[in-house]
Amino acid sequence: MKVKFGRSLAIAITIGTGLLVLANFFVRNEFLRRVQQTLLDWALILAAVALLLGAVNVVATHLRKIRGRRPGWVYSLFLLAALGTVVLLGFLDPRGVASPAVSWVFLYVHVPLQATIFALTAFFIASAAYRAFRVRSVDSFIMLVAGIIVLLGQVPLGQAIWDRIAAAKDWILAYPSTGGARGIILGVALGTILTGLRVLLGIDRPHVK
Amino acid sequence: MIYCPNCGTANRDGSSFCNQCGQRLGGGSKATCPFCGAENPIENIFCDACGAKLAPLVTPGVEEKEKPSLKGLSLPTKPAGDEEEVRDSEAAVPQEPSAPEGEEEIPDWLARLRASLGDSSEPVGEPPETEEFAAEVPGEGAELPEEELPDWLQELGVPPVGEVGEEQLAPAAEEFAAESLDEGAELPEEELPDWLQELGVPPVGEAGEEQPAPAAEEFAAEVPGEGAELPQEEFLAEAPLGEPLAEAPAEPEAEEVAPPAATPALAEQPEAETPAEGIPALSEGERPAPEAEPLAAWLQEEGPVILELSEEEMAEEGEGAPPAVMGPEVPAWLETLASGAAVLPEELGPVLATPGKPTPEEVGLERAAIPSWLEVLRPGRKREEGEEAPAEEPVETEGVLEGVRGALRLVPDIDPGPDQFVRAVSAAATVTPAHAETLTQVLARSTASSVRPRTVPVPRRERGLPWLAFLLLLAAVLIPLLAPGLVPGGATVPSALSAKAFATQVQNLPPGAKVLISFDYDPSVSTELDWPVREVVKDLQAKGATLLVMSTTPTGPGLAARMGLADTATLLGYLPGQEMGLQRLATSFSGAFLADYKGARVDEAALGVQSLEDVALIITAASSQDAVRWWVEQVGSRVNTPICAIVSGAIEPSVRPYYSSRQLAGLVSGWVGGLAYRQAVSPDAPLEAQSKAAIEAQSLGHLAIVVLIVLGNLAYWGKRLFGGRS
Amino acid sequence: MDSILELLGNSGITATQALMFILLLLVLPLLALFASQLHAGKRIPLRPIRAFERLGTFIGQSAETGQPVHMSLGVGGIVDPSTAESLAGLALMEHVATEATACGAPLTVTVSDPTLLPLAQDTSRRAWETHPYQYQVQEPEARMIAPDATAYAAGVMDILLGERVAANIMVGRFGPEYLLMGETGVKCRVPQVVGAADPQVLPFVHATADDMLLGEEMFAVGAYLRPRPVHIASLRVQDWLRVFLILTIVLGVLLRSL
Repeated sequence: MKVKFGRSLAIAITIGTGLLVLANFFVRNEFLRRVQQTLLDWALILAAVALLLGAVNVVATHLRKIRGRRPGWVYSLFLLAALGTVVLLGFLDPRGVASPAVSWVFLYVHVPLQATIFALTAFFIASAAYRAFRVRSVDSFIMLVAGIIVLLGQVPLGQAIWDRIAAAKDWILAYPSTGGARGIILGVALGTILTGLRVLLGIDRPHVK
Repeated sequence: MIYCPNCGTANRDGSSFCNQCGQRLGGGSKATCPFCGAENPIENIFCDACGAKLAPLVTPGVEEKEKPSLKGLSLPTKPAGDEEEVRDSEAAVPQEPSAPEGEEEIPDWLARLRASLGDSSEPVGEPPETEEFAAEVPGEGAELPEEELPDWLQELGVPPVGEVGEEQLAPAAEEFAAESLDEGAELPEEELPDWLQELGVPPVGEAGEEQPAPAAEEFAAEVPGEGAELPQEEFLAEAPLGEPLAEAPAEPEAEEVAPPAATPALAEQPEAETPAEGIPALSEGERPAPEAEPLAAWLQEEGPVILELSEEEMAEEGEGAPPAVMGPEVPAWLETLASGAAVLPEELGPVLATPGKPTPEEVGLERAAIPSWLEVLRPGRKREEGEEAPAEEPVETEGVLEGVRGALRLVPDIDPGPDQFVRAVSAAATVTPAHAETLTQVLARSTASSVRPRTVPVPRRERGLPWLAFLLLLAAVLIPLLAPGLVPGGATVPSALSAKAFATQVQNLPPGAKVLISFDYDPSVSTELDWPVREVVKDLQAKGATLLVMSTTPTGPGLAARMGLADTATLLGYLPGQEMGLQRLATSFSGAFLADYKGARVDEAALGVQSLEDVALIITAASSQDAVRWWVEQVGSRVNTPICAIVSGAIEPSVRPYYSSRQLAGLVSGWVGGLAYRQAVSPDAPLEAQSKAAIEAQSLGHLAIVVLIVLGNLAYWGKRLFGGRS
Repeated sequence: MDSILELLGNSGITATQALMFILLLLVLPLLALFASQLHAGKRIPLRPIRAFERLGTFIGQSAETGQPVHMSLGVGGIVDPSTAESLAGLALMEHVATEATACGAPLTVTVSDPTLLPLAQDTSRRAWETHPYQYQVQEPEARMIAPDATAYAAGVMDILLGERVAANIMVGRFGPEYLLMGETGVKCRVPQVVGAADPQVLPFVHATADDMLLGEEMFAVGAYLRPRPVHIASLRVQDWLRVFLILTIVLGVLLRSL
């Protein structure tokens, strides 16, 4: 009984909140605007709290790994040490993220690491290109030619090889590519609308038992 | 192979940790034999000293939860760390209701677990009682007034505790408690039935001889659970025993639900002489396959179970009593009741008078009280007289079990006890329709799937591919650095309209104009976007523009500070809320930023910006199309200030339509776009060597990928044409 | 057309608002109509989507080998535009978690955005609680790796490389960092089912996944895996709206060109 009441309450809150925000989209009303603003502020606060929960989850997961001496547990030690250090640095200095120590970590650890991991994409693109661009049919041949044109059309080298390659690239990107992408985006948008409505109507309840 | 004592996974010889669960293997820890106390290597399945079974008795995945209940029986002791691990994993999930843990508490999971295991220390059972019980309990929810309790149960209300070993009674009480907990029923201390309170329930898994048994009150007080409180008279009625027992014979679909693997077990059941017909069959059917085998073996056995104990042992334990002959239906503790001072309930009369076997009373013998630890080990197989025990079964050579064969073998050899019925029925009760449905669906789907899976071809020779890719990309980076100007095309691009439009926007700014730059990219693409952004900022500063810098990503302000903008511009900092944040910013600039990057208060009046209309140009530097979309949709639709974008090459195709539709006043993408912008602003200014090298490297990188595509096709077609010899 | 917009604009209604209102007006009655038809026994055939059929195989393999199935819910959250994709991932996760617990297959679910974590944990807990022998099976593990997309990708790569997963299911919002994970899966020869909606990621998905849920297929999880009339009705509404959009586009092009 208790459970059922909680469930109904959760669904009622979902529907009520959703309708308020939706109404604000169609009707210009100061009260509705304020309500929406408050709700959005709450969402932000909840997101920040979720980040805390997430941090707890990360710490717990890695502590478990260390205790169980699972493969790679040493890296978990590093992770926890790094996490603790950065958090401590942030808290010790009243300037927070603007403190020189945090800035230093950001500039000389965070940015290079991120850039390096992302740069790995180049290698992965290379191996995926080797494997995926096989000419098995007429379609895949067309795709291959288009791919090469776009690849070379973006760089000065391509211009040197064929001076109209940039125009060809622009045409491919502007028409066939954008057309296909928009078709997908429209489909996704419809799916999004229906998903949103199902949640709004209480049909899909990912948040309630 | 080393078999993990924790989960049973086979690991390569020499492994230090289990592949599957991380359990330490090998010499790292010792397993203490629970029976003789000898230290064994952890990978031992049987004890070196006494032959006791050390490996887990149940399927993997169970062990973490069941460990406490097996303590003192046969599981090797695990490092304490793992127990903490279990606790951790539960602590890490904030939402879940935390189950009480620890040895002094008996959480319901432990009780349930015990109920589903085949190693109960309760050797006794009461099938006739169960049947009768089922008949008398009309079903869940039905009222069962106290006066309608079966006589025998009422009699039990005053058990001769002194005579019956606490250990023996305890499991029965536990059984009841555990099952009532299945329903999540709360059993407050004062509402515990008297008879249960008096029994004194020891903690599960510690019914052994060493552990003192805490009082039942304590147990009940610690029982977690929500739901209806059960007054005493409703306790039995609410117990889940009633419903499944009443319904059991009328549920033929139980067999359909069963996994196919359980079928052999089902087939064997008709032969088995089961005291409560129908019920075990049902529960068998719904049990998971791994459990079916042991049960089937047990079910095949007929008739009473003879406990093979030497006279010597019996002398020790039962003061000269002959080997105990017990009817399978007769619980030892009930029999003790019967033979002792307690009044034999009427219902028990026929039970004890098992046909063909004289009861101990009839032959004038006094029944020995068998301690629970011995009951646990009672062999389940009845052997005919003269039948030799299988040779592989270790014969106990010392201790109280001397002469007993196979006492410490696998679960099947341990008599699950007739209370298995109770457990099986309770398990059947908990098989939810949802679960049954899921299993049926899974089974149906696995056979119905007609579509052949498509697989990504992974050529065998791909092993060298990473190296090839690495070398090609390394060459692409090194060649421009070592030999600048070698790459055809160099660092010149034809004028791009979008970049030219961007340059025009910057050039047309009035002196001292306010420009808002939003750093909406993350550090991962900083190598691509820093340069064009720096070029634009340089030009803006040259024009004397007042720069307001913000970000919709938490890392953006750091990237701006990295360019020195914290000192040369107003660094407003991070605007939370993404799309909604921008919507708010577009409706009212004031109040959007309370404090800037350095923590100082933002004074809109001093800045001279009340709304985004006061800004001459908005520039977003973005690595996600969403950020550009937010600016266009939330800001562009509300204010008339032109918006320009500097984006990474990856998102250019999806952002370009905004430029085509004039929602973006200018667009620069990546290094190449930056170069085009630069050529438009100052065509004659020389390019720094580093920037030149970067653009040439990009040219070569693209070429390298084209080369790889061609190589991939050559390999593919070579293989196709020459049958793999190529 | 312009005059209609002008008329609307004068009454304080933007074109977007008008369009959304028309869509809403279309959707709700259609949804009710189709749902009632389905309730009345009408059958609407669904074309087979291989990715959904593969899931059962993955779980079976996982149960047999004891190797975990990895499921990624992407880098999206539930308080931003990626919500719908994240919810689609969650719906699929609910199904996978229920079947995995039913079969005793270990499942590891990873998220990047912290707002998704409580939902993922709740979903795994619910799936586990429906299991009758819940204390004999592992509860699916839902964990957050990092809120940053690139760091998340690195964490998933580590799982794919180090935890010998039986299968990799990824459904949700992904950016270019997808390639890091997808390609690692290919290198480890892990069978992969991927659902993504972002057109710029789809080429990567095509190159690395064994089976795909492209674009709107992601949102059909409910209709395929939890076939309730209203879910199938919602798919049908989607199709009708698509036809409506196509007609609108064609009409718009004709009106503008003529």
